[in-house]
This record gives sequence, structure tokens and C-alpha cells, in this order.
Amino acid sequence: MKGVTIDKAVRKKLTFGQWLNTDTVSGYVFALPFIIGFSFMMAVPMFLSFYYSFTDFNMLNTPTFIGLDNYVRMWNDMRFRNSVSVTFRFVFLSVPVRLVFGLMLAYVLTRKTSGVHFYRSIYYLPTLIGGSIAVALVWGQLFQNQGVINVVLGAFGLDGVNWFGNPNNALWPLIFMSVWQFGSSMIIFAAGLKDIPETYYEAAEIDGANKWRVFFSITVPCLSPIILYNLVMQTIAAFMTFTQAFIITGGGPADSTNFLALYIYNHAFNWFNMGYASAMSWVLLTMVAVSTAFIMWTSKKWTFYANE
Amino acid sequence: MKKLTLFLIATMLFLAACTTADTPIATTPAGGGTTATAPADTAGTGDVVDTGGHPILDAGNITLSFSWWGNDARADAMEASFRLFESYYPNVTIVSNTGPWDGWQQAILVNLSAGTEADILQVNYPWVHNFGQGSNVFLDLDTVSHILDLSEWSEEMLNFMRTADGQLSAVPHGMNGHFLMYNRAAINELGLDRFPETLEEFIEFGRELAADNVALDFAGENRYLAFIAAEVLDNILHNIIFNATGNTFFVGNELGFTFEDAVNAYELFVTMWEYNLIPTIQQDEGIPIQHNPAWLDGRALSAFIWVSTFFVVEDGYEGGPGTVDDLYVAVWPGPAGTPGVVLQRPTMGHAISANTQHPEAAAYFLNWFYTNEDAISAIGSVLGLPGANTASIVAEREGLISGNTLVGAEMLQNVRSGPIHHFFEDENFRQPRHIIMEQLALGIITATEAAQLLLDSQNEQLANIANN
Repeated sequence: MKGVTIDKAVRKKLTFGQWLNTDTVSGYVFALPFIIGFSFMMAVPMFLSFYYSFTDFNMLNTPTFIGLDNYVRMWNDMRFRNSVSVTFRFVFLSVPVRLVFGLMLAYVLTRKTSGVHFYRSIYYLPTLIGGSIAVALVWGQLFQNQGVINVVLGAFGLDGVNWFGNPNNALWPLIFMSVWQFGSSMIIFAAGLKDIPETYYEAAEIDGANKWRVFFSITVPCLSPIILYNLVMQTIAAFMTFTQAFIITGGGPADSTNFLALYIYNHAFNWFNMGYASAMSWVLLTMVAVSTAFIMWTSKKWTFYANE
Repeated sequence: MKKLTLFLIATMLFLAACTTADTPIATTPAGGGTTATAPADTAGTGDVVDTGGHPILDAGNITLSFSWWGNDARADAMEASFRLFESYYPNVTIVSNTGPWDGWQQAILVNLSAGTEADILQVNYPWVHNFGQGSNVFLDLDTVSHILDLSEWSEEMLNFMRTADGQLSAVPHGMNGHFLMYNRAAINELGLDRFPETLEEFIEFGRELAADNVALDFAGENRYLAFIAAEVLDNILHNIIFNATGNTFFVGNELGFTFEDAVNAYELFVTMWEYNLIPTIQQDEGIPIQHNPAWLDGRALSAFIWVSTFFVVEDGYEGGPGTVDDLYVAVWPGPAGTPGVVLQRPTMGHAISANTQHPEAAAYFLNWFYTNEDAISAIGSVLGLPGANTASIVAEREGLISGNTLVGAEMLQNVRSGPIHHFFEDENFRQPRHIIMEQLALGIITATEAAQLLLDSQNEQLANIANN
């Protein structure tokens, strides 16, 4: 329905219903839930946390301005540096594997075979239950010394691995769990694969290209905007990873899984250093923003848009 | 406009009516509050409300909120005591605000930050000091001592709950300490007929026991003299330092030990891990002792646990090969010639919100909670060993505390002991110690390096506190 255009001359004559139905007002009404939610749940807390990052706030005191002390403290905090390192390792290892896995399965599941919708649903299930506490608990049990994974390794004559007792191994189960939740990227890849015109493949077939050549010369370039989207979204999500470490390892052993998000949480709510935690949150946000900007900058070299 | 005015008037009347249903209590006259007065007509209905005859509770209908964490057994006991109080004082309603321990500290911290905390709060010992970083964030209970009889507790116990400025943040429910709980059946099964009494015997005993252990990177089917969970290693460190120096970890605002003491303590840990008499970090899978296969199968000959959790471990052991009668309580051993030691801290405490509208009613409830025999019986042992005089007497007379828990309670009063300083439980101090212990256990650092890191990290935090 076409809205009523506001005209100052006639505004006074509008009934409440007509006024509500004007383009401007109805637009604001529809946007209001988001505006309220964003303002109070995002914008206000963000600005407050920025202010707190320059204070000694501990949640119960009156914040005192301490300048850049919290940011300077980070520079000398070895555990902070370690948590940044652990976070980057997790991002660099989990995101590419997750994307490759998602793309591989999307490729298989977009083939015209029977039962493909069923399999697609099944593969999406891990993402539906997501990074919940229950799933983290189950994964924790799977990788215990006498858990299913080591039992299976033993059945193949392999030595079990002390996953959570050894700092060199502890990050891997968390990476595996992250990769296992490939469903969302898989679905987006599948949608992208379906959008690639069949004529491209037909032309390649006529030219005698083999399957690998078709995949790398047609599928990947055509899918590159989707890969970019998934890469950005998964990178942001990986930087914010918290639940797995919080539930399964608590950041240990010897801080080997102490993600930055977990370290921030501990400082804020367990060690009562909300000011310092706020400062670290802004550093995390900056890290995410810079990484995203870097990906977007490099994307000019490897993304292909059909209309360009 | 007329409609709007009428609406506003109606709203104000409605709100006023709601407010009068929960009237703040009147100030109690000095000298007590035990004088019986006529029941009041507070509901404004013309009916007389029975307040139980106490002037503090006479001012009208009162709702007190009580926040606490705990399990189902504690829930049953707490609710029973609340309903009992309400039956004594029908104009008072106690509302529970409860949940499991996990995440509870964060919830309370947010409540306190927003000023929405309950009137009465079950508090953990470190909260009293850490939440306000030395200042009191709860009501100073000395201000209601004319209602809450503080003589129920010893000065030593109350001092645990006093902040740096001397304010009394909470009253302690009781005291707690770590003990070794031995499995007598498992020890006898090995042909042994006694328990190690000195630290040297303890190590030699464990060394022989663990000689056949084959799984070094796993729990496997290993035998351990003592099952000591990773998070409790810190308490052992405290015990070792106390045994060596006679000082607690912190004395006032300084460390109670030297670099050499720390090196010796960490070397002792390395010895215990090397001999495999306690599980290494790699072998500890974080399974609670009451569910741990090593304990239930009798492969762990002892466990190092809080006296307040004896009943949990005993309940868990019911499913094991032995019986609860096989369990025997002992203190952490000292070197030859030095008696063993138990370091103590309050199990928990109860505080009153600084923002409560009913400080005296809340104090009256707490006094009743700790001195009324029916209330003490209703609570039983679900909050641990009671420390208040009346509660202790009633608990012992009524058999509310028995078996190993009673043994532990008596040992807490009779063995060599020292207080656990609140700094020791502050996470800003504890976290670095935990990381140092893990790095030592994993062979990343030596005992000497660990000792230096310990002194650096603890002194740095002490300096932060001094600067604030």
C-alpha cells in the first residue's frame, strides 16, 4: 500500500491512523524494534565500555579515570600476549579448514542425486545445535584420555593422545569442534553453487576441461564473492570463540587454550577488572576490524564478479 | 485531556496502594527489640495481622529476599527453614533467589552493581574482600548487633569477615579446612596396616605404591597415594609453606615466606609427581573425586578434600567396592617432628544488603536462622559445619553432624592450624599461582624459576593493592 506523503499544509488535518501510515512514520515504526535493541543492547554498552577502558572500574566502585594505564598494562601482560597468540592460531587453523570442509560438502550435496536434501539437512544439524554448552561438554568427553576418540585410535593400533593434558594438543579438539560446525557456510556455498550458470560448465565440457580444471577455473572464481562473505563471517566468529574453551579446558593447560574472549571474561567477572577487560575488548574489536579490512583489501585481487 | 488526567490519578493511586503493602519497618528502639507488642493492623483491612509479637516485625507485611547457591538437598533445607520462619511470623515472606554455584558469583556481582541484590545473601568468603577491593559492599553488621547476636561467633571467626576498614560484612556459617581422606580398605588390601604420619613417610609410602605405575602420560590404571585435583594443588602449596615457615602464605600485606621456601615447596611437588604419588596435570582429567574411577576403584588411597564436602565424597563412595566405614580422616603431614596442619577459612557466610529496606528484619531473620533450634535442625548439615555457638551445640546434640564430618569438625579445633588469608583466595593472586603450578608440572619451568615467578606475581599484586 502506498503511504501518504507528509505535507506540512495538511499535517494538522491527518487523523492518528493516517499519520501513522505516512512513509516516514511507518518506516520509523517498523525500524523501532531494531533501533531500540541496537541502542540499548549495543550502542550504549559499547560507548560505556570505551569509557570504562580508561578507568579502574570493577563493577562496584565509582570509575576513576586512569588514562591509558589499561592499554599500557596490556603491553606488559604476558598472559594477554599469549591469549592473542592462541586466538590467532585458532583463527588461522580453524577458518580455512572449516571453509574447505563446507565447500567440499556443499559441492557434493548440490549434485543431482537422490536423497540430497536429506543429507544436506543431516550435515546442517551440528550447526543448528551450534556451540552450545551441551555440545562442548560432549566434545570434552569425546577427547578425554579414555574417551571415544582414543578408543577408536586404539582400535586401529594407534596410541591414544592426551588431548587436554598436553599444551601442544589441547587446541586441536577445539579446532575440530569448530570445523564440525561447518553447516552455515555449507548452506551459503550450496546456494552460491546453484547460481553458477550451467552454460559455463557446458562450455568447459566442450573445450575438454577435466573436473579439477572446471572446479578451479569456473567454480571457485564464480564462487569467490561467497567465499569472501564466508571468510569474513567465519573469521569474525573465530576471533570471538569462547564457549568451547570456557566449558572444556578453562583456558588450560598452561594457558594453551586461553582465548582472548575467555581472558576478557575472566578479568571482567572473575577477577573484577572491568576497566582492563573493557580495554582488551576494544583491542579485540580492533583486531577483528583490521583482519576484516585486510581480507576485503586482498579480495580485490581474488574475487570475481560477473558484472565487472 | 480529562481522560489522561483520570488515568494518571488512577495510576498513582494504584502505585500508592502497592507501596503500602510493603512498608519499610520502623526503627527499633535502642536496647533490643524483644519486647512483645500488640499485633498490628498493617494491611488496612481491619483484620489484625499476627506478627509474632516482635516489634521489628510489627511494622507491616514484609518481604525479605534471600539469595543463595546450592544443590537440591540445600534447596529443601533452606525452603523448610523459610517456611518455618513464616509460620512463626506470618506477616513476613521469605523469597528465594537461588541457583547453582556455576555463574553465581557473576550473577551476584551484576546484582550488586545494579543495586538489585537480595536483602540477605549467602556469600563466599573471598567476596567479602574482593567485591569492594577492601571496602565493604554489604551492610556493616555491627550496626545491627543489637538484633543479631554476634557473641554467637568467636572474634577470630568474625575477623575473617571484616574488611580492611574494620566493617563486618557477613557472619560466617562455619569453618572449613582440607583433610586427607584415606581409604582404609584399599590400604589394607596392599598389606599395609597403618597410614603415613610424617611427610617423609608419606613420600616413601607413595613411592613404593607407585613403583609399578606404567601410564605416565595418562591416568590409566595407576595407583596414587593421594588424589589431589589440580585446583587443590595450591592449597597443598600453602600447607607446605606453613609447615616449613610456621607462617601463612600472607602475613598482613606481605608474603609469609622467602624465595628459598618457595623453591623447596616446588621441589617437593616435583618429587611427588616424579614418584607419581599424586596425579600429574596430564593424568588429572578433572573428574570430581566422588565420580573419579581412581577413587571409586580404590586405586587412589586418599583424597585431599574440604571437610564440608566429606558427605559428597562419602555418598559417592557408596557405589564403590568399600563402605563409608573404610574412610579415615587425617591431616596433611608435616616433616618429622612437626605436626600436620589444617589451614582454615569460613565455609561461607551470610550478609545483608546495604540497600535493603529492611535491615533490622533481615538481621532478626539471621539471628533466628543461627539460634532457633528448629531452624538449625531444618538446615542440618547442608551448609557445612555450623560455627555459631548455639548451632554447634544443637547440631552435635541432635546428631546433625556425625561420622567423618564430626571427626573433621573436632580436628579443626584441635590440630595445628592457621587462617587462610583472603588474598590467598583472590583470583588476581590465585590465577598466576595456578599457571605457575601447571607450567612446573608440565616441565616448562624449573622449581627455581617457578619460585621466582611466584614471588614476582604475588608481590606485583600486593603492590597493586598498596597503590590503590
